[in-house]
Amino acid sequence: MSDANVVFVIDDDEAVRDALSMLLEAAGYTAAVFQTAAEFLDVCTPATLGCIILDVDMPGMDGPALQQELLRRKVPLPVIFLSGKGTIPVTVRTIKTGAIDFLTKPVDRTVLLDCVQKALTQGEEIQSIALRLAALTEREHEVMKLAVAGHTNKEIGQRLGISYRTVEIHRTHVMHKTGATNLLELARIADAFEAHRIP
Amino acid sequence: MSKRPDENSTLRAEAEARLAGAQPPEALALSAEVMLHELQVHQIELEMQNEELRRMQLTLEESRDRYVDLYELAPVGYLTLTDTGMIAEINLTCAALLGEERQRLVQRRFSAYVASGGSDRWQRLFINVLRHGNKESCELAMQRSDGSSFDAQLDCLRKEMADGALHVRIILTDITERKQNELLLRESEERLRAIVDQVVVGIVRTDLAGHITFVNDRFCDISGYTRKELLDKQWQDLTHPEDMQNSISVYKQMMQDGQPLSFEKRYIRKNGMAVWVSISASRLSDAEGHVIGGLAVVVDISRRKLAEDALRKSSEEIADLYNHSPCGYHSLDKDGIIRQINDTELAWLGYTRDEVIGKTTAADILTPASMENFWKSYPLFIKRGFIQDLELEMVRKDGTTFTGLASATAIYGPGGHYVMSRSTILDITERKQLERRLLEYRNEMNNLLNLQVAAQTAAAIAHELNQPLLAISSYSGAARMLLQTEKPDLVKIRKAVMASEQQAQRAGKSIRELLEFLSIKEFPVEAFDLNQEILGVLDTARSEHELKFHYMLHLEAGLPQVWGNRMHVHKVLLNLLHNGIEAMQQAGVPSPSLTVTLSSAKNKGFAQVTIQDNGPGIDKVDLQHLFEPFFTTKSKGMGMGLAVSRSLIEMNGGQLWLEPQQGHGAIFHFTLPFAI
Repeated sequence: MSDANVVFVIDDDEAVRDALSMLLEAAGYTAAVFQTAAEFLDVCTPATLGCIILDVDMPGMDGPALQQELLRRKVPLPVIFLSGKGTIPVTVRTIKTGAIDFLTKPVDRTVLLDCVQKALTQGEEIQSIALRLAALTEREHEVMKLAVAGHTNKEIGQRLGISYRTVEIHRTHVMHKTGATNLLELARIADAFEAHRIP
Repeated sequence: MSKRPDENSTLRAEAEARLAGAQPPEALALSAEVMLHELQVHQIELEMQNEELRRMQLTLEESRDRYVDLYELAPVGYLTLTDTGMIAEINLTCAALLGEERQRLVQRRFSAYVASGGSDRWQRLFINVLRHGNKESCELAMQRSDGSSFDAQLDCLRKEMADGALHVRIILTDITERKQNELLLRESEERLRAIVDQVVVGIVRTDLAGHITFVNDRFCDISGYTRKELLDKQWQDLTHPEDMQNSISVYKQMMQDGQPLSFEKRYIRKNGMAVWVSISASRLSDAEGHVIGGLAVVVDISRRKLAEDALRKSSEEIADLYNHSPCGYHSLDKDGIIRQINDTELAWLGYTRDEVIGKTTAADILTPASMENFWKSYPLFIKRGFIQDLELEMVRKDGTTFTGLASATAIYGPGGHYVMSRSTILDITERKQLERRLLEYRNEMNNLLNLQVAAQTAAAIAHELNQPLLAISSYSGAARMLLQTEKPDLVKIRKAVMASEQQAQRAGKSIRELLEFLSIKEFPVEAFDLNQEILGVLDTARSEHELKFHYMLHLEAGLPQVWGNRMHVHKVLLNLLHNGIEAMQQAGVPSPSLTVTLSSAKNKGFAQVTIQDNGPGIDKVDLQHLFEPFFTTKSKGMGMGLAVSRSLIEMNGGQLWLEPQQGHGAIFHFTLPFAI
């Protein structure tokens, strides 16, 4: 599943799955449906691209639980929640955990499709950042974290027990690999990535 | 008769005085004349002497006569004995006493009349008197010559006669009567003493100062002292210090006015212990009416006092309990007037005891409505003799009311007539308030519950409708988007439209089910064969489910028909079978099986159906909510199934319940009444 336009529909109601997949496909997306959270966990990996439309109330593992599990497994897919009976506490919790949106059934077609588009774009971005950061060596990762935290090269060198010059070389590599043009941009990339890693 | 010298000289002087008066002294100049004078004086002296003698003779004769009379007729015997014990003189009285003529007695030996037992004593006394001249007395039994005897007292005195002979004068008194009286008195005293000593009361006599002069044995017992010890004491020595003042004033008063008195006091016994006594005291006077002391009859009442103390304590205790009981007590006479009431009820009513006793009636302390209730229950109360838990609104003095719960007992007189009632009142105002608050609270809870049920219902309806609505919305959206393309995919569009239609139907079905649950109307009932019904439903269930399950039937043959609505029972059976099958399917049980048992319930008159699956069973948490509406563990359905099933069975007079067990599948039971 490397298609960046795949929308994973996870809902225990067959009619809902069928209708949503037909709608998404009519809108030009690829839809993949799952009856339970467990079925989806079987196929997804940290490299999976796309976004998820997730039912809140499901037998077995419910929507919010699946969201937590995905974070734990470092699967950075954006999630759109769909609820039959939305309640405020659940909404707040899911949004805080990084859900794109929390929609209530029956959702307006255009709202849903806009949400899907937003999620896919974000997912792509996160995925690319993830790929770029994945190219960093362990030492470069350390240097980036300290640099983003606002430490000078000298301080970074002292902390890691390497020379000022070596720090400069690592920083150059980090900027190059992430495609960031300045420290601020690097910080934004690092933040965006971390946001999807830390529950 | 000898003349004393002073008498002679007086005589001479008087004679001289007479002569001088007859002849002047100057005339006595001559010796003859002196001689003559002397003779004349002497003559006159003699004349005077004769005159005197004559007068004396007369006086003597008078005196003798008087003496003889006195002597002879004295009430006592006089006799004179010679020194040899012979009777010299004896008066008539004594002769009569000795039963002889006087003449025969004179010159007889007196000792012959002394009874033989007293002879020695008499001889000793006689010699004693003769020898020493003392006045001696003795009592002697005398014997007459005819053999009869009498008791006499002899008072003896020695008399020396003119001739120097010694005589003994005796006064002899007949004391037979006195002796007999003395004997009688002694006997009676002894009898009295015996009685006095044997009586159960203590008897004590005191003199004026209070010194004890007599006690009986019982008094010794009571006081703990011996008779000897008591006779050295005053009654004051025995009296308890705390009772002293009162005792003294009582004693004084009695001594003053002579009225006998009864009172109670304490003595201190010899051993130091106090003893309660009841005293009846009276004043004692001698024959002349002089007050000589007091007499008291003393009864030991320690035991009675103890009993009284115990009784008083116990009645105090009862009074205390009566008055300070947490409930009210009162007694009404047959006219409904309060005759007795305790402090608690008085405090409730706000009256004082004086305001109520004998004045207040039931009507005064009850509201008119409660009074009516009171009269309504009255006849039964009189007939049965009691009444319980009559709720009455009671009116306080200030006009406010409180709720009392009354129970009363009727008291009947000897003739069986109702005389009074005794009532217990509980102030249940607080209880009433509590009940009211509880009711309010319950209503509030019901409201909350209703609200929650409404919210749950709304949420369930929302969920149940939102699913098909989302599907419909999505299908139609897809169809619309497909139609907007250059080459619309008609197959897809048709599919979307058809699916849309189905979802609309699904939404409609949910609503119908809900309405069915919310408004269950009257239904027809009939007698039918439950066995047949079970077999039919099982067939339906098997045809509707893909799951192939094994089933066992234990249907009791020859069971009577049941009574109920056939459609209801059908629905319940189907629902329970569906639940079991779906649970097994959802859990993926390797070899699904259902057991349906039909039997006569333990509770006679009912048929019992048991349906057991071998699915995962019911979760403990779910158990609590199992029969609540909208509770479900299934992906499909509204959670109305069990709630509806239970209410349907209950409407048909049966019961539906889950057998609590875990891990071995769910076991549901329901009962239905037999038709006969």
